[in-house]
Amino acid sequence: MIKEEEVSQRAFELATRVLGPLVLGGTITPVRPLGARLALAIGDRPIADADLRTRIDVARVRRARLLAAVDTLPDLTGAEWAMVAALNDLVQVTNHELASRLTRGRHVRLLASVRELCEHLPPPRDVRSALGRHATFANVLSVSRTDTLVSWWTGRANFRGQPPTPRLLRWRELRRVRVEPRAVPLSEMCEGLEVVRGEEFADALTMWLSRSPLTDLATATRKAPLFGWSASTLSLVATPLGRTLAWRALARQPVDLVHATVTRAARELPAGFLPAKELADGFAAEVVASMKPKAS
Amino acid sequence: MLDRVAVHQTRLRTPGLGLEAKGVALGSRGLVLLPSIDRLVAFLALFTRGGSLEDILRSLTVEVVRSKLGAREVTLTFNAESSDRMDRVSEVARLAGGYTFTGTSRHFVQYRDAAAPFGYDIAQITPTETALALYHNAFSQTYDVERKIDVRSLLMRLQPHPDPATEREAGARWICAESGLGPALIHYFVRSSVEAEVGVAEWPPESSFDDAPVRRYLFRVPAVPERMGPLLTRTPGLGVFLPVAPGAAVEVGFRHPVNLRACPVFPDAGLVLFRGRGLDPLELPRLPALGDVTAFARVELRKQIGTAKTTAQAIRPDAAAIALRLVPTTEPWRAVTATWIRSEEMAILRHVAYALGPDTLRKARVAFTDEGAFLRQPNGIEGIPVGEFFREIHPGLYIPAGYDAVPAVAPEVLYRALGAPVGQVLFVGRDGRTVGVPNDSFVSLEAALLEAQSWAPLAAEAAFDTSAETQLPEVVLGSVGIRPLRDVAPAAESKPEGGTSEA
Repeated sequence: MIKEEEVSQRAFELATRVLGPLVLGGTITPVRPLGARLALAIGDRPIADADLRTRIDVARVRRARLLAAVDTLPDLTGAEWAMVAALNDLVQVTNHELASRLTRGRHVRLLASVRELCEHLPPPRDVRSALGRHATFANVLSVSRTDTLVSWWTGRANFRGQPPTPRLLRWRELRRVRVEPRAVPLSEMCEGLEVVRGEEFADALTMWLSRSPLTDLATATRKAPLFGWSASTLSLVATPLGRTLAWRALARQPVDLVHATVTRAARELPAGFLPAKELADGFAAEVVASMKPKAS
Repeated sequence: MLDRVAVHQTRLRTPGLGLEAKGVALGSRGLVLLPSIDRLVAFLALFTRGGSLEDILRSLTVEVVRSKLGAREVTLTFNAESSDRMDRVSEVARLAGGYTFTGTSRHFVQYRDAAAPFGYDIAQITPTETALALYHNAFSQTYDVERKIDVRSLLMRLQPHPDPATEREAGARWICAESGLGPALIHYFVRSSVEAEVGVAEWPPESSFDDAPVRRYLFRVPAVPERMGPLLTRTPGLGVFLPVAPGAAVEVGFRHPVNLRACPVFPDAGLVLFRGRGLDPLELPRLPALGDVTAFARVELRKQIGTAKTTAQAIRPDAAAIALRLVPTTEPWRAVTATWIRSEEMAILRHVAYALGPDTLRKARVAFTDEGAFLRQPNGIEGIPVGEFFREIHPGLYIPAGYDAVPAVAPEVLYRALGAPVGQVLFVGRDGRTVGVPNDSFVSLEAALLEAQSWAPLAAEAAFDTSAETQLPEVVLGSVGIRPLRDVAPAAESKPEGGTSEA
């Protein structure tokens, strides 16, 4: 039995340290992993910090209005809270400080928890809630981590998502210190961890993305993980309004990449799923027909 | 015997007595000893004739004291504060036959007089347990307090003296009428066009034999005509009162012994009516609600008025109904504030939208319908040269600019003939066909351009610029503490029960 005070406290941390920076921009400092049970226990609740709630609402509406003429969005639902928790845990999977040499199984265990949590998250009930989820998580693939490689005349040190130790930056000229920061996107954050394979992490991220189908479509031309039709994205484009939103989301991406992505994704659908394949093919054909590459 | 205080004397024997800046011996309190209640009233009357009692009222205590021999006298004690105040009190007390003393708590010594300009000091203190010890050149006496006298109660108990001069004083009047006379007086005032306010006040039953409260009508008359004076003052059951202070009025023909204006003991919200001829005063803790007497004037209703039947009820001859037509007119265009943009002209509007100024975009309102877009601009639609222009002939009714409706009925009549629909804006086309657009569907053109992304790239770029100001989220990793997975269920444990559901 989870105490309500603890859930409220963890939700507050999650809102201020993860959700707020994700929607508004800024530094995400992941909180201690929540796990599936605690994430689902948060449920429908408003953000406790009224000021943060207002700013997030404004930012979500601003994001949603890029796709649809809406003035208000539904409040954060339990599913969205759980998605934030899952994202937090997914980032924590990539945290090298999560485990020591003797507890290396923690990464795999946490990744399994994320997958389990995503499996329990329902797809959006309607187009409005899909838009609401997208408004919250549209920035997710913009999340990056800055790794810094510090090298000096006798050695080097790599800092994953942490600022370099000031000690190593002293006497720069004398020690010939070089600092090379590198932005690591979310899809590549797992690199450098031996305990979790990149494919597993990409699968979990794909599963997480599929819970916000409009975000999945709005980032369809990403390099990794590759876009593929899921039940939720197909459900979205099956409705006229969802189809319009999906078209608008795709219209904001390079046309040639969009053509290639939707065509490939439709082709990759197994032939056995005939209705889904027809839907994907029809949407791809419509996109190809309506979006013309700009004449240079 | 008392010692006179000398010039530059610094030490005094009387407890609580000091020297003020002028060198006068003064305690923190002043005391006036009066031989009787009559003298007290005389003192108050004399004092209030020359100034207000308000200064000393807050600290004033009136007590009946008794000497060892059983003689009862009256004392007034108050904050001395300065010799100026004490000098004035002393003069009035002397006139009223009293003595003035000064001291602090128990021992009071005679205040200064002509024989001792700096006051007096005691040669030897009388040991006593009584409440007061007064030291005078002529006597020294101790007193015990018998009872206190409330100034307000004292003023209420004082009976006004006859003074016919008050009848001639100008100004407002309060009139108190017994319940039977009230309505008659109201109509008398209404008939005579006398401006007055009236209310009904209630007093507790005068005796236990009365089971209902006593009701009286209370009138406030800004100016009583002179001719009404005798009637109002001599009619039994009527009382005319002259306001003498906030919250107090004295019956005309009488005057209160004390100047009540100088005694702010009656609250403004209430009213005390001092009656002459030995009658008790009437006290109202709170004024009743007062209303203009004209509201109580007698009204007479006429019989049922026969009205002509309206046109809707009358039988309309079919031959009189004709169709509405629009004919071109050479009249100059006025109030051209709307345009009807057909679907085929929407492309022109898109082009024109780029050239529109911010003021036009903000003020213009547009509604999109199956018949095209309807654009309204209260300042004139000429700035958006697209579509067919309309002029507003009635709020919510437009006809094409350059056309007049025939028959030349009034716009209101035409609007009513169209049913005067609430919340609809009507556009009469040149072919006589009328379309109605819901008023709610008109939105700001600015907003419409922003929302219609497919044909308003301006809005999309503006939105992108705004979102580009947002800082990108960046992850900073840190320590997760001891047992970071304490909330994560072990792999072997059963899966969580059910998922969340969308609200």
